[in-house]
Amino acid sequence: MMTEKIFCPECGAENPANSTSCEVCHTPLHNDEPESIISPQQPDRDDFDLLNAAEDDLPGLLHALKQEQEEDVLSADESISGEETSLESEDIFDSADDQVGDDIPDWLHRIRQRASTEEDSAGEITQKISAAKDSLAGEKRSSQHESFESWIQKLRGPVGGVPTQKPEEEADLEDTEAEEEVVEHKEPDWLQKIRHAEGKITSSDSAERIDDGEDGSLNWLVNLEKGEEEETEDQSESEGDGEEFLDESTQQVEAEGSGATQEVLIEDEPAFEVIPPKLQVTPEEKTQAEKLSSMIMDEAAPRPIRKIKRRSPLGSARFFFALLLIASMGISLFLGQRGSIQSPAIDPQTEGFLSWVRNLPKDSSLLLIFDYQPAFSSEINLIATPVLEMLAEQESNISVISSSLSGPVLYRQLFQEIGALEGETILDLGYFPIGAYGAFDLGMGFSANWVLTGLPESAKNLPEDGFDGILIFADTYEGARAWIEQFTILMPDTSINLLVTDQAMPMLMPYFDSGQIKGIISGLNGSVILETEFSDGSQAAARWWAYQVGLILLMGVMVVGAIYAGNQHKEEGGEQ
Amino acid sequence: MKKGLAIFVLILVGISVLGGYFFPAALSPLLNLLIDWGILLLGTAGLVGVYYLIKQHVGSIARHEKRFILSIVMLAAFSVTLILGLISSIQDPLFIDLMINVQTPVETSLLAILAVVLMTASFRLISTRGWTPMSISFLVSAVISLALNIGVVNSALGNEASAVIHYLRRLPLVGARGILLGMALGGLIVGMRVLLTIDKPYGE
Repeated sequence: MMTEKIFCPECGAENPANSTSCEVCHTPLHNDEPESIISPQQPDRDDFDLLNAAEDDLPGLLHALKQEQEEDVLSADESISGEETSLESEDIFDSADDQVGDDIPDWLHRIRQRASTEEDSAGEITQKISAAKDSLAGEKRSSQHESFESWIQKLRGPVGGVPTQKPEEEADLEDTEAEEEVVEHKEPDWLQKIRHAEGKITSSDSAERIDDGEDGSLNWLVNLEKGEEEETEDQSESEGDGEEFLDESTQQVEAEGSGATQEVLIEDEPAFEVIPPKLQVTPEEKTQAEKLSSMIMDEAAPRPIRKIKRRSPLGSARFFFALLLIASMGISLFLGQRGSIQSPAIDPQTEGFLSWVRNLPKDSSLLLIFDYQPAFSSEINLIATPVLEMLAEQESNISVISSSLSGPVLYRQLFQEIGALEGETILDLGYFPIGAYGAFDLGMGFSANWVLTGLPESAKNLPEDGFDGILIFADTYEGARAWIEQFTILMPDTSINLLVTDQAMPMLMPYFDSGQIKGIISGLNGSVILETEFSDGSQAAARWWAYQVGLILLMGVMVVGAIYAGNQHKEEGGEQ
Repeated sequence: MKKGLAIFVLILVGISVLGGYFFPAALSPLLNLLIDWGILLLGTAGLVGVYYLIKQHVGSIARHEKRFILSIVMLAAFSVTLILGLISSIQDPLFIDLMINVQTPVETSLLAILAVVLMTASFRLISTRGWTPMSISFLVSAVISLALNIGVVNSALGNEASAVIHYLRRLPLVGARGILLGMALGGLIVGMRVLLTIDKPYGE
């Protein structure tokens, strides 16, 4: 069936006879006359006949090529089937070049030589033919197996899909591929895509397609570049969009050998299971993110203008009150106690200490342990002075040990103030960084019944019969507790007595109640009692009045301050 | 290997010291030797501590950090004390006076500040919580303790009142006993855990 078409002079595209402009490049077609071509919808016509019918329309170069092709075909072996020479025109070109290379005329040989050396020597159409030949050769070499493998690789999923296709299905695909090898007159897939893009031939009748003559070949050669570009775009779209790839119900498969394509129906169930990528957030990351977001929100949050704090109206009252306290304490200290003081009540622990001191034998051996800081030295010295003076009178043998850093300095200062205990009557046993170590070492030293040979002997000999009593000077209960607990076990027959500060006394009372220690005397109360009992000194009495005044003032401050604080809480709307 | 050796030494020393309380005559020379070694180690640790203290302050001065003047004062005081201690001795009255007359006022002032801070903390407690049973009992107990320490109340009242005062003075002993018992039990458990190698403080 003959139809009339207008070929675009610019791009060579086919256009209907009544077209005024090219459908492809929109070039005006007013002066071009329509040409009669054979309709492609004729499957029973022979290809070569169609080519002959359109022979007059071929361009010059293609005409020459066609002539060479015919000559080669005639001179070739008759046994070569027409199937091998029908569609693969590029193969024919190659074989013709190889076979008749010796018989070509000189001018054609020169043209070919020039074409082989100079890239721009060939015309545009020749270049396109060469590009098409290279493309087809490349596809034949590499894409037959690789394209199929890449298709299977695509089926496995681009983002971690788990392949679920069974080996049997793969075997079926291979069988299909083998069957496709025997399919004849199949066109390459890129050509099929070009035709798809042009809308001329549907995929369903691909088996019935025939070449529409040399004009058609020229047409696809002219449109080759465009078709390749579209194909590239199609590939990029199919690779980039996984969902679109999954939604397709069919997939083109290139048959091996023939270069043709076949549409393989993919089952409704997807060939692979797509695992969507999950965003895993740990609790710590979540917490950090929440902190960051709250911080950002907090920065942007409006804040009230900070009010300048005015000076409290009670500032002057506080100053006056502090001045009153200092003045009262100073006056009471400077004035001191006038007349005799009334001794405070004697507690059982104080009574126990007094009775132990009174019953000390003459020339008794005593161990004094110093475990207090300089801040408490005035309080401890007030207690220790009457006791040490009495011990000096009784000519007691005193050993001194310290478990505080300042201990050696403090007891030397104390002995200097007394002036009674000096020189050879005092045995300094040194400093132990930990009280428990010193107590353990001393206790074990009295218990040993054998000696390790080879060790250096101590320069300070302990009394052979042990100590008659132990006096512990401590400012905190922790220091005294270590000595008490060690000596109670290691030296159970030795009397232990304490001279401690007021703050340490309550926590040491349980040791007195349990009988581990004989007596405790503490604070300014104890020093006043000791002065009253053993000496006629006035140091404790001079401070006693100031101490009482200070305590009364402190009580008043606490009561007034607590009432004021409670009212302040009430004014601020606090719950009662 | 190192850990095994440490565990072996720990168990050996621990059991020896524990056995010393039951067999003091047999184990005392060995335990005295161990105690002497421990004291030597403590002295060495003190020297290492002094070295790092000086290094820290020298570095602070070299880097001109904030308040590096205080580091200079500290190093000067340390140098003076060290030189005086090396030249004279701990028995020198000058050295003793120098030490006592500097250290005693500083520590006493800190104690006075501590007393004021504790008192204001009690006020803050009341201003924050208001008049609650806890705050009221805290205030009342503090005032009664101060009053009992004055000493005047004991003498002025008769025997019956003295019994009440004696009871009030012994009331804090309830808490003291509880604290001491808790400390003893805690120490026992810690010692047992170390001896049984459940806790390994030496490996940290």
